[in-house]
Amino acid sequence: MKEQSKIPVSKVQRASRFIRTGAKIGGNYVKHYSRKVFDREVAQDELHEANSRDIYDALSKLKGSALKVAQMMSMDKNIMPTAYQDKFAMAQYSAPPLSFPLVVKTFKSSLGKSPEELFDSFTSSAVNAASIGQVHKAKLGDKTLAVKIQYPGVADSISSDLKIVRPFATRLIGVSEADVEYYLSEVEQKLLEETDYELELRRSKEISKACEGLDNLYFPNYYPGFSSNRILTMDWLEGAHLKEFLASNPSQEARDSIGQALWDFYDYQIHVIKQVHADPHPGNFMFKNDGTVGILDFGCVKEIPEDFYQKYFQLHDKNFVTNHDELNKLFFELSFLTEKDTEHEKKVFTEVFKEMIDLLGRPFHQEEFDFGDKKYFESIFELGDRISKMKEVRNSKSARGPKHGLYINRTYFGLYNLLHDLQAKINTGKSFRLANAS
Amino acid sequence: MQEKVKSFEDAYIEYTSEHLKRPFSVYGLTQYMGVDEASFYAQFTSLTALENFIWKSWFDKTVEQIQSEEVYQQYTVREKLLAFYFSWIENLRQHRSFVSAIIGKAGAYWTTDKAFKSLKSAFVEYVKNLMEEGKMTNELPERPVIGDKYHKPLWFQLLWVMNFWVKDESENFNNTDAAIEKAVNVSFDIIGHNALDSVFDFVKFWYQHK
Repeated sequence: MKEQSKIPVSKVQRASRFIRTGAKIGGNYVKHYSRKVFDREVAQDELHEANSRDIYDALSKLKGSALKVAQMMSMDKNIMPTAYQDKFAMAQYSAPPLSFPLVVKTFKSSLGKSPEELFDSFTSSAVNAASIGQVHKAKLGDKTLAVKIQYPGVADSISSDLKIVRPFATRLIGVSEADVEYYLSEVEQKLLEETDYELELRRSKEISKACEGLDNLYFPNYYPGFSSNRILTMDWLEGAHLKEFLASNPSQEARDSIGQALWDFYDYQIHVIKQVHADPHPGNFMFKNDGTVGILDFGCVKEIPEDFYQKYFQLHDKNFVTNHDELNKLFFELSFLTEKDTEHEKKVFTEVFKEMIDLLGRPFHQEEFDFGDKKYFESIFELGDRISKMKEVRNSKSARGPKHGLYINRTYFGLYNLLHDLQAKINTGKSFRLANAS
Repeated sequence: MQEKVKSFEDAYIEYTSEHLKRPFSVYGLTQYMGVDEASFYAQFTSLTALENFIWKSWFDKTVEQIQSEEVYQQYTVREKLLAFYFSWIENLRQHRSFVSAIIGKAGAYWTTDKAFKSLKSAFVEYVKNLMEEGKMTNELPERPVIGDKYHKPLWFQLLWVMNFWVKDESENFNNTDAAIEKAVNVSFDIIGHNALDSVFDFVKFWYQHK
């Protein structure tokens, strides 16, 4: 077990780490451009690769919310150039472990007993590390359990971490200062919610119960008696992680069946129960060759306000996008456009958003959609890349798009990427939304 | 009954917590308790001796607690020290006002305070045993000269942890838990096997064969 030699403790130390990264990225650019003078063929990819390595190295030294931000950025493949993704994806699996004495102490102070007293067996080292906690495997009777324990002081560090991340994010992903401010309150609230395991327990039970009727999904049972605000105990889910699953060469039927199950799961949550598991990164699912998928971790749940729901999902209607006046009105209501925009800006952004909506909404407009379609994903990345380079976007001083859309988009991006990795063909025609409306 | 059995230890802690400073003299303490000054000397020679006794008894209690846990025997040395810190802070919790009065009042020079003498020697003894154990199990490397001096920085680490805890206002003293974890990680990464050993070994080899 490799433990870090030194974890930056104070805000100053954390900040200086970021600054060091910033300086290094700057260095990479200098290297890049000075080489470009001699060799015009130096690939942009190489630069991204060097940058992502430095950023990852810096981020991996931090726990808590900074790591969480790394995870979020690793999800949004459309924002991140390809080279960043793999490095960040690593953050989803590895973080240095908590010592066993502290685990014992956490048990004693919140449940009054040590893990040995509560369970028949309990692994002394963590079997898996998440961004704000780690998982131990326990046995009780004939049950195998997963016990998640939160790192101490995580909630405390969130606010100060986000303050550090802010300028960093602005620079790294080219979001304007205004955007960062506008969305950060939403992110902060979600991160704080994730540190509340009692809330997670409640939501896990609620959502898994509501989704009981859906095919090919399985959920763990949760055990309130063995849980507290910093400990969460649930069934150990059998199955493989995405990478292992894909390495085992699953049949197309299994891929399709899992993909469909995931598609229906998200569709049902968004359109029927109106709260959604907003963290679809691969580490939160267990895959089986019989075509079923297990769902873990309801730490990040987005509740969808009705008013937002009504407006936002009109964008999924195929016909709506062709109706200019209606669309224009909706763009203002959803703050994609603002009154302060110049005519030129209005025109440019309307075009950009229309293109985005058309492209991202494509699966909804067909009876069946093949998420293995490489061309489709390339055109998404290409669009993302093109948008981020547009000078109107870079210079835009106002945040665009509704705050609530942040996690909804993140959810869909995560889902699309998962389905793409699975190379699944999905029946997308029957949405619960339409069933709702009629 | 209550009146009669109130020990000098309890009275001393109570007085200090209440007045945010130590009793000025034995006379002051016995006056506060309403007992005869002579009865104090039957048990302790001075106030410093009394305070030494208090710290030492908490230390003994802590070690006894952690050693009575089954899992303690399976711990690595690093984990044993962690367990000690966690229980130590847990035990101090009942006397937080007392501890902050002592540490807050004595300020910068409290690291050399005579009242900690017994605690220090007991802790040093405990740490030395841990280090021996670590070398036997090969968790820690044998190092000439500095290998026997680890107890000194570790004593300051204990004081640092207590100082941190006294100032910690986080919920349930969560930050102290994190501080302990990180502090012990740092110290064990330094005293454990690390790059310096290879460097030393390499330099020695080079020197011998040049």
